[in-house]
Amino acid sequence: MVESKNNLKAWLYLGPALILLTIFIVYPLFNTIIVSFKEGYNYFNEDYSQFGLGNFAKILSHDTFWVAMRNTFFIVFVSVPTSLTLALLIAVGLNSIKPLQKLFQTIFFLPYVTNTIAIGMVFAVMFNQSSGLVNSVLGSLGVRDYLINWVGFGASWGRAMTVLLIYTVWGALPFKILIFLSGLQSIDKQYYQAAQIDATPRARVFWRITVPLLSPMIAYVLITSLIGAFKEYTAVVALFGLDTEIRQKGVGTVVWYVYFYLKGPLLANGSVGWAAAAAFVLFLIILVFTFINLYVSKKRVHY
Amino acid sequence: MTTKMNVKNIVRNYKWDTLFKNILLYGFLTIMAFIVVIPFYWMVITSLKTRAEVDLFPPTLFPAVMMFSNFPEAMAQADFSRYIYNTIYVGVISTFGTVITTILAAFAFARLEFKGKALLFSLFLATMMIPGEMMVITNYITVARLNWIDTYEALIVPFIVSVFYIYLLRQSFKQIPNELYLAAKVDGTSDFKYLIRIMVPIAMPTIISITILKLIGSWNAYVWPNLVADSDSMRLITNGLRRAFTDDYGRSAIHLQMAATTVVTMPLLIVFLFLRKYIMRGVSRSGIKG
Amino acid sequence: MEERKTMKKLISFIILLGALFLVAGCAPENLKDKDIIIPDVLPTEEINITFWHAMGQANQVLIQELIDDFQVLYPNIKVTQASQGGYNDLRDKLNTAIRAGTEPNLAQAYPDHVAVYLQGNAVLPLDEYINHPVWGYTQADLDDFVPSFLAEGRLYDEAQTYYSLPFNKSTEIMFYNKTYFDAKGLTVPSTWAEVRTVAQFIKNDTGKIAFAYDSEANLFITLTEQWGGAYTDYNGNILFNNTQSKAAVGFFSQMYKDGLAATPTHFDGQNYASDIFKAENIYMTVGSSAGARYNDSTVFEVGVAPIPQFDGAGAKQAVIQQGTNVSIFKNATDAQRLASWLFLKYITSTEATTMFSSGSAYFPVRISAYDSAEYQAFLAKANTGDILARSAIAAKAQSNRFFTSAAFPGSSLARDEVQALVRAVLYGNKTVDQAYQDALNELTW
Repeated sequence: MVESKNNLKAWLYLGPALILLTIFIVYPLFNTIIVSFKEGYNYFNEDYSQFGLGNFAKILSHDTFWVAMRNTFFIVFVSVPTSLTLALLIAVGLNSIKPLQKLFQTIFFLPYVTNTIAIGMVFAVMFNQSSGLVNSVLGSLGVRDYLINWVGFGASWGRAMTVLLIYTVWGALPFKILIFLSGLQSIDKQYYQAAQIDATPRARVFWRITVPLLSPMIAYVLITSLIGAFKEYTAVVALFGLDTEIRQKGVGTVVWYVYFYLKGPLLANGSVGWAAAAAFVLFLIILVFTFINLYVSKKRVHY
Repeated sequence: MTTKMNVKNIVRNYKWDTLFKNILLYGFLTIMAFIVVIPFYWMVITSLKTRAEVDLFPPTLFPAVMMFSNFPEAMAQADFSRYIYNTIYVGVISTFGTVITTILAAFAFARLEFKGKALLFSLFLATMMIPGEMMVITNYITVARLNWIDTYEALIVPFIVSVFYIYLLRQSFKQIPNELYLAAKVDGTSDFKYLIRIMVPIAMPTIISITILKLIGSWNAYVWPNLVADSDSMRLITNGLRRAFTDDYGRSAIHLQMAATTVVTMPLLIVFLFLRKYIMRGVSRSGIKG
Repeated sequence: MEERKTMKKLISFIILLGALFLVAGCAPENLKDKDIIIPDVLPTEEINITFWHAMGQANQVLIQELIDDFQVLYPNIKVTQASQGGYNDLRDKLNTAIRAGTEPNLAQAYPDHVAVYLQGNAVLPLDEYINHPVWGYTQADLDDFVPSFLAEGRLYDEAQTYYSLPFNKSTEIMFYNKTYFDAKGLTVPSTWAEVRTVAQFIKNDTGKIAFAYDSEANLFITLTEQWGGAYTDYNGNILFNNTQSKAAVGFFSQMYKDGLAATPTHFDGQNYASDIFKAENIYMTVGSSAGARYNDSTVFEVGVAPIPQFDGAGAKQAVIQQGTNVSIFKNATDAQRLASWLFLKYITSTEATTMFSSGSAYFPVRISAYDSAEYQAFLAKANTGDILARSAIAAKAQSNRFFTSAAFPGSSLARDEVQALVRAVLYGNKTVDQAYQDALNELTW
């Protein structure tokens, strides 16, 4: 590869990107971590009482924080595997048909180009207690007490999470299907032909050939989805309303918690420090998960 | 004779098998596709119903009267024309800025050799792992300090660099063969000219994908504008949509809410239908581990 | 090694650039900490001041009138008003503006919010201006202010320093469907027990929920006060975990369970209580006196009455006094501070408050305003059924029962929390004790 040895020129080309990255990504990363250790942080004049773990202790003793953690983990451990499995099945299905494949592909990709907030509000309308589509379907199916409160005040956690689950899976399918499908299409036909000669049952073909060959994609999709799931916020805003409503309905996520304390009446009493601590905790959790994921991938992914 | 009958059986069974399999397959895919499409359908028909019809239970599956007037009425609920203007303005400028920084940086990483290149690139990639929330807190303070709250600067500047797009474009640039570069050098072309005249046009599909994805991203932006745009006059469309129709203290009628939602959603769908190839290619590129 | 050194050099260069960038873009010079110096003579050069508020279209017109009249008196002072949306938007904007050093000269603010601005060291103490020989108030002037309104501007510290003057005050009153009441021969309830009886009648007659209370937070705070319980105190102590408050909330909760009363949340959050009232799906609603025009109807006659009171043991006559005051911000020149003071004096003068109240249904903040011919003429419109006038009268009739709750950093959180509490008890199937405990935990966290 022929390159031009010219440091200055390179730095000039990189200049804009580098400056912006430094100011808006690198510097903030360190500053936020520092702020998370500043107890009693006053947003107005940046005063603080002392350095310490106070902010962390505070959020870890906060019921609302744990509710947010629980909700976030629910999305991570239930929504992600669900959408992954479903996407895999759909991709395999798509890969097995010729006519109409393009049409189906396009349809399945639609949720990707939509606005999370906008479509989430549509879901909320569909799950509306008194006039929603879902409840009327349940009613016509003969369910007793079909006027279920899914997303309003007083809705049970299970019901609210069900809607959140359905919505997040719905929104997460397109990306996964696309990746899996292109992965499937790049698998050498020879493998399948060999299996056909041996008259291998379909299930075995799937588990012994398709999945292993697809494992790099699966690993990649899994890790990006997990990280994305930890950061879920807009879906909750879309389904349940603005920050105070979310708090009252008990459906917030960790990212919601961070943003909640970036505003409000306790700005001079340390709330920004709490937000920073929560963000840092989230970062650490994501880091841990990423490492676990990489480790497991190393063992099980076939390249 | 037995063999012949067996073969016939096998073939017949195979045909039924295939038919059965196909029915199952198409059935499954159709049901899934149906589920994917329902929210869109529901959104559109609800936005065309009258207020009275919206409250009906069980809800009607098609509007009795097509209330196209719901759309202007919904737009009047809040300063939507302003939100749309803001969103387009911010989107265009930040996309433009992004494309420029991306092209320049990708060129440096793909074509130029300089001290610390590998290390710097790894650092760049590492930043992709950090959740945005870590940055937001400080950026919020930075923006306040710079007195950029409620300005276009705050909405645009922090986002005109994207490591992801730099990575994507670098991949495309790297695929351009050396020979072209050598030939250009022999002709005495400067690096910059080479970039503009040759590399950019060749990598145009990727650049187009980046442009479209970035525009879509700007249209859908919610969290950061929510934080830095306190004034109604500076809000973007997603913020405006959510705030105009909240539960607390009176949600507007659902038909108007859905009409506004349709207006927010439609442009993207139209863009998608026409530019589908670029979008899907851009997204799938990101998935193929490089 | 070489690579590292170059990297280090470059990174430090970039950070330096970034730092310069930040410093260069820094906020305008902040005048917050300048001492208060009040000139005896108003400077003659042009002085520009800004006034942020959260008033809607109709009231913005009134404010412009006030500004125009003021500018006749002081031609060299130019006042610009700017509506910032709702009160929450106004608060958020002020927070970030104070942070950036770009706050306006005057702004509307709830005591809850002022408590936070004070922590940003942003609010101008008014005592020196009030006591100034040239520009100040006489004792008679101060006495002319409605006492409870004036007191609200002084509850931020031990010394009772003035940090605001009252501007647009309101209270809660009850609107009822007079046509229906007259037709059925019902008397307007004045106690909660009577509300229950009337509501039961209405339920039997129409099957509908009869009574709605617009603001859940006010419901909690007012009923707690009426039942004789404590809510919070000026030191930020949360005191509402007591038997009286629980009894009050329990009472309303029982009414809800019996299908007699609710809050707008019950109606699927789709409407304001006023919308439900106008649609005749409820027959009595308690809401802000400043929202009177939203409760008006041409379909039926709307009656206006004081809110129901509690008549059990330990009861206190109480109705909440609310609305914002106006504060001045320190980050301004001496001339601007003085000009802002003069503007504040003007908008709280008898003449101004009479004009503003007559057009908006907010209270006059001056006692003399009530007696003025203009205001009396406004009140006389009640005889022709004008709802603004009638609600002004009903509100005034309650003025001896006014109370306010303490303002301290986080007092608005307490409001949010009790709103959540009421919703949890009514709609969230939480027991009263559980809801109180959760609210307490959250606030003392």
